[in-house]
Amino acid sequence: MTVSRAFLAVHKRNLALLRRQKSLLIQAAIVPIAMLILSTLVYGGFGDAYAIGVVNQSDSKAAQKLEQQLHDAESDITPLFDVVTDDYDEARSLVDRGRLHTVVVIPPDYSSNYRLEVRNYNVNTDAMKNTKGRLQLVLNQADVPGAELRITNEMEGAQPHDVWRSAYLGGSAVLLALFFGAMLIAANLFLLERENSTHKEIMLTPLNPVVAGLANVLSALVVSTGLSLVPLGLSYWMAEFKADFWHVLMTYVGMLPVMVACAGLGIFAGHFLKSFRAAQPIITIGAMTTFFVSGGFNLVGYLPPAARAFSEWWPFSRIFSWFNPLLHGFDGLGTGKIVALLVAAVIGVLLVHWAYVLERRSREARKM
Amino acid sequence: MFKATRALVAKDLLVSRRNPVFFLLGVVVPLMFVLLYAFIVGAATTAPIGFAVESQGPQTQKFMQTIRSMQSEDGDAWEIRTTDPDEARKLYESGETVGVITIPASFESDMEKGRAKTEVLTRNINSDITKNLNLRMQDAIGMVQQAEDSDHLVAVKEQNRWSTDMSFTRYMGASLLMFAILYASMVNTGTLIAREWEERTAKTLVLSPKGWWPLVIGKWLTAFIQTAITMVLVGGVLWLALDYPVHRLGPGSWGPLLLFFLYGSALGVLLGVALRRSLPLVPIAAVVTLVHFLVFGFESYMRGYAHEGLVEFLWWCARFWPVSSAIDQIRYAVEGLEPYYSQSHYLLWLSAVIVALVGAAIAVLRKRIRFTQGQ
Repeated sequence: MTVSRAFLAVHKRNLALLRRQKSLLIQAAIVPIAMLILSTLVYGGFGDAYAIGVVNQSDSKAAQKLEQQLHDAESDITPLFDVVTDDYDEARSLVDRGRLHTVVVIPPDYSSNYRLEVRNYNVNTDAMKNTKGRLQLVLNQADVPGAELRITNEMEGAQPHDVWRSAYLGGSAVLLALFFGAMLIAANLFLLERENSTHKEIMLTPLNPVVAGLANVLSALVVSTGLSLVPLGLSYWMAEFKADFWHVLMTYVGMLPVMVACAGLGIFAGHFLKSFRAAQPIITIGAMTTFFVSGGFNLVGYLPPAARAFSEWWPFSRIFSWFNPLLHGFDGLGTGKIVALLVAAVIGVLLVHWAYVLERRSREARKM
Repeated sequence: MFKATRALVAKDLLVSRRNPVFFLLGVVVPLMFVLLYAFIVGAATTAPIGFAVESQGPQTQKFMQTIRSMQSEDGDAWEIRTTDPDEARKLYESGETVGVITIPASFESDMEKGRAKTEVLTRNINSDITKNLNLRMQDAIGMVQQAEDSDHLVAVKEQNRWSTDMSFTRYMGASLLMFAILYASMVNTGTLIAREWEERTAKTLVLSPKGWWPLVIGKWLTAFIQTAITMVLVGGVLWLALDYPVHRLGPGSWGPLLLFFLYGSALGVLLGVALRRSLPLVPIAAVVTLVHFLVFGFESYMRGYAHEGLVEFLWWCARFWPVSSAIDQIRYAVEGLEPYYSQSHYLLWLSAVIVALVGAAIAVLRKRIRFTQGQ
């Protein structure tokens, strides 16, 4: 009874502290939201539709058909082209100043020689790869009399429909908010005890000081879960995120042991790093590294060899590799993964215990 | 004034040496970011995948030869993990690859008949991957059809704005330089200023009979030295990780780089005097820099596709903020090309922004010039 009252009292104190000192939450709140908004807008918010100009100067049926094919070409999620103009002068002007990457001109004599004119604003190789590949897709299937060879490429997905890139980034931002938030907030609460001189009281309490540590873990879990609702809501609003309630719920439940492990690690790291100014950047850099190199930005299997090798031994890569497929309804968590998650949670609790044991034995504690 | 400035620089460098946390942050964060981005650029260039080659014969060999030969200036288009059908499917099932590309057993005979197909099975959890695989396959198909039956294909006469495509790594390299210099200068200058409040020495400095200038110049000089160290290291990492031609950063790049330093320092001064604490300054600086990187660092790329919705709004913001054009200036100077927008208007505009930020910092300082707790 006394232990549970102490546990809840520390948790209540933590919530009050976090309400008053917003600087303890800034990073945990802002980093996932910034990642989501900017990544979604810059990289994926428009789907696969690439803006181009299409100017058809020919009246022939072949030219009209090609023009229609350019308009109709589509991926599973959107059309491949967003044709913003069909006026020659406007298109030339737009492409010359980079407002379009490509303008396709179907000349008056197209039906006699099957030649196109393409004008590119070749800003970089990635942009050109994107526009040329889309155009090639249409041209591979264009009708040319006498053609002796046509090769087609059939796309088949593990699920009936593709998940938008922005939705994948949105899911990753939610996972980032959960594990990064838990780790950083737990570390901050632990370091707050150190820097605000409540450390002494906790160390000298007749109860086991680990109770305070576990209460820090609970507070970190509660607050980071609350903070993660912002990127979750934004994902639904602006990132074509369509995960159903059941999968979202399962993901949040499945992430609980991960968050316990991360919070435990945050407290353990806090013991060694000793101050906010050291702990905050290291935890933030670690989380960003995990996001970019271990499956948050893209599937691990699609990353370069060095990133794949890193993800192989970096345990946090499992957060994205296991939970993104769960969130988007691709894979469940099998028994093996559930056992591994529970083991991670136990390790997290042990890390809290060790952090407080080491804290009690530290030189500073002996000076109190 | 010179002696006071020199004393301030010496003091700050000594403090940074004894307590190097923030100086190291100004070094480590940009270095890490450059390394992380090197991975992402690699993912944009090369697709790792397993091929299930079930067919055998000259046509299949030609097709696979085409696949192997595909590359851009940034690197190979494909990283072929295997061509064995069983292994390709095993890699896919285990999640080690994102898909399997099958060249079916009937490919040879189908090619003879003039109607062949390839199949891509993909874990379609990220539409960008699905799209990339499809477009790469379309490129390969186009090349094979061109080689086999060039008389019956639509020919394309291309006209490019520049004679060569700028490599994506070099394009991003300029944005990464901006990221590094902006973050390092902001954190270095901001923490040097905030530190005076944290260590309760601000009152002495602000009320000094020497005036404000030794304080401002001293802080900026120290920050310049610390930022220069960061930039040397970042340049080395850019060269090693992205093969960025650092040696081509000639006089055409120096102006924008210097302006980035002054701009970052001005933002750092403003944050330093407004917050007076280094702890929240670091994450705010990181977010501000990230926003600059993702928004202004991509302006000339975004310009081509931002035609509706929020992304167009974002592009308009980026278009008129002079940081975007300054980054382009570095890009094109490195390539030896002329950027679309001329330098004159944005250099003045960026200088005006820097002056306004410094003015705002001094105004904040004057307005809130109160000292507590014995300062």
